[in-house]
Amino acid sequence: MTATVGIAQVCHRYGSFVALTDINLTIEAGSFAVLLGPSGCGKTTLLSVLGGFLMPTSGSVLLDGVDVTHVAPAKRATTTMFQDYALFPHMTLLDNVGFGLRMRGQSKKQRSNRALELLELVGLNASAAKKPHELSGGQKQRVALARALAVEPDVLLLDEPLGALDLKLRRQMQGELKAIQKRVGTTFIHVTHDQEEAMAIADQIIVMNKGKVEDHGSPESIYLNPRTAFSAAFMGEANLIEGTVESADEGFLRVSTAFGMLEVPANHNAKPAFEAGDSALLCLRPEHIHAVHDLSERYLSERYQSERSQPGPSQSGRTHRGAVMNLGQGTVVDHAFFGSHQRCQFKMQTGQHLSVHLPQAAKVASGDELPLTIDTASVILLRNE
Amino acid sequence: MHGVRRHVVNTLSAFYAVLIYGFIFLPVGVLVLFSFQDSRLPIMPFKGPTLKWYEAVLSDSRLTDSMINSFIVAMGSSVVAVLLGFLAAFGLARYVLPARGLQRALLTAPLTVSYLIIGLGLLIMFNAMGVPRSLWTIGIGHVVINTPLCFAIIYSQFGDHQVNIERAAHDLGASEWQTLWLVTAPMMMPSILASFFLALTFSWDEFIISFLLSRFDVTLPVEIWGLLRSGLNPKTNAAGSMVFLISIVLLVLAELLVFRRFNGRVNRK
Repeated sequence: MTATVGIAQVCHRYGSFVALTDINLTIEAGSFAVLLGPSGCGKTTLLSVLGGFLMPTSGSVLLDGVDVTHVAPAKRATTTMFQDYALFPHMTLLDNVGFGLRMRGQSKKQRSNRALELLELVGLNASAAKKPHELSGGQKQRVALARALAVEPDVLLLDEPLGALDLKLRRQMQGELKAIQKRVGTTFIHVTHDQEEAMAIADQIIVMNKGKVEDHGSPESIYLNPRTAFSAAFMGEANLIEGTVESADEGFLRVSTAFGMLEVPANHNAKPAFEAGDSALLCLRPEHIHAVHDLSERYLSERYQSERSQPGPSQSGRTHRGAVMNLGQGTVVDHAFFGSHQRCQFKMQTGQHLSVHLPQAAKVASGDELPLTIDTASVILLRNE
Repeated sequence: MHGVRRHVVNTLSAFYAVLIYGFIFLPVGVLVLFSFQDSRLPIMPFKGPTLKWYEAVLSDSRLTDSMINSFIVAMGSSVVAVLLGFLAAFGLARYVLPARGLQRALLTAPLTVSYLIIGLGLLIMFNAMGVPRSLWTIGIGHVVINTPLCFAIIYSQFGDHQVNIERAAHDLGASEWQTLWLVTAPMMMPSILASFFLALTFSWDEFIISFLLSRFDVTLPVEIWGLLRSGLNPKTNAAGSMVFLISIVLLVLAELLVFRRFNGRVNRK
């Protein structure tokens, strides 16, 4: 019902195009893993390799330690949910869901019972006699899920299954997918280019770019301690500032930047460790930069600061180092209201552009000049590659 | 002024349309009309109507035998042509084959060759091989002319959107043949049926190849040609009308199925 997926030194080329380069991964049994990356990053190729539709140029795929690289999809304990659902158009939902069981030689009665069970799991048992063309996109997606789960695969591979749905339905299906995954316990490997979707459903995220794994970890660790600049910029919004490491000591590094010297915590995920003289990128998340408004509205900024510092424990480094760094004056060049926050583009005196999330109630207008600060404990140090 | 001019243009257009349709359908109309002629000659003026010529056709064992022959040849050759066309289309649509474009062109090329050339070629070849002319040779001739048609129709309906559906079938444990039989063929059924009915129609009223490749057992068009040699007669009209009626029925069936297929595609988008 579930299996650990191992990917060892997998490389794949299409002619001269290298689609996958030396992929090494382990995905724990029963976890919900997401392959995240821009289009053309190789995530779908990797999924095809896992499903058996594509033979990798080299390397191997292991299910619970058994090499299945050369096992055909029909014989492999994986099933794939295709992006376009790939339902059989001439069959009823019941026959669609029962198809895999029919191929396994189950009697009509047995497979109908099981198919109904699965249709119930996805809430479509009342439509068992319908044909796929009578369904909406979300319903088709559910049938595809039921059909794939009917054969009790060890691993379910999902190829951008929510890509064709509208935003609201996508959010709802994310919740349902995750709930069903927890219920059946099957290992799910889900491909998407939507980082919000990845964060919403994943136990672990594998960030891919140009055929390589950029980062691998829980949503939290990838967001807070990304391994590479690509990973930082792909997971959420990031302001990347160039700098040079001046000195490194016990967990804190001094980095010189256009904004002056910053003392920032070491990022244990960005390996190898930094040494003095290394070129670095500092990642400043927009929600970590604060604008100190003119005096009349300063309280907003202060209130925002005090709200943020309440949870406490994770921010203990800040009191210790006492570091709120002044970034200098910034000029608002663009701003937009995003509901829970306002997103502003600042042009700094040093020439950089910074993206900053200001509180919902902050009053800003294009051309305003505001001093910006950042809490140095929240700055992420990355290799400049 | 403007209104009058438009009126004139509309009247002329309608008149032109009547002329065109008349030109196309008048011969058929006359043929059918005089099959009901109550006299020995299918010429003006029209007398009747009567069904006696139809009675004569149906009581003429040579005509009914040839009709049955036509039916056997049409069914047999169409089934074979559809099967070959479907498998060729599947192979070319789903597998990377050497010189794919050339193979496709070679498969459809016979559509542009005249039936006379195909018939003569087969006649010479069968003679050289010592194969006696029979309903079998006619059937083979009809497979030769209809396979390219079936291939072209079915191939045009193979698309990439079905690739994942076949993959899903494999993924769920189906073998190559199971997928072909349980998923691909049913999915392609509208175009398979459409090409089958078109092949039936073409085989049903095909004359030249049937004439060249037949000997003792002949098909209906060849038999009618034999009747015509003894002069015009409302009986030949009746026989021709029956051929025409059956062709129309088959064409309407094919048309309906092609049309249904087209609607299905629109719905999916």
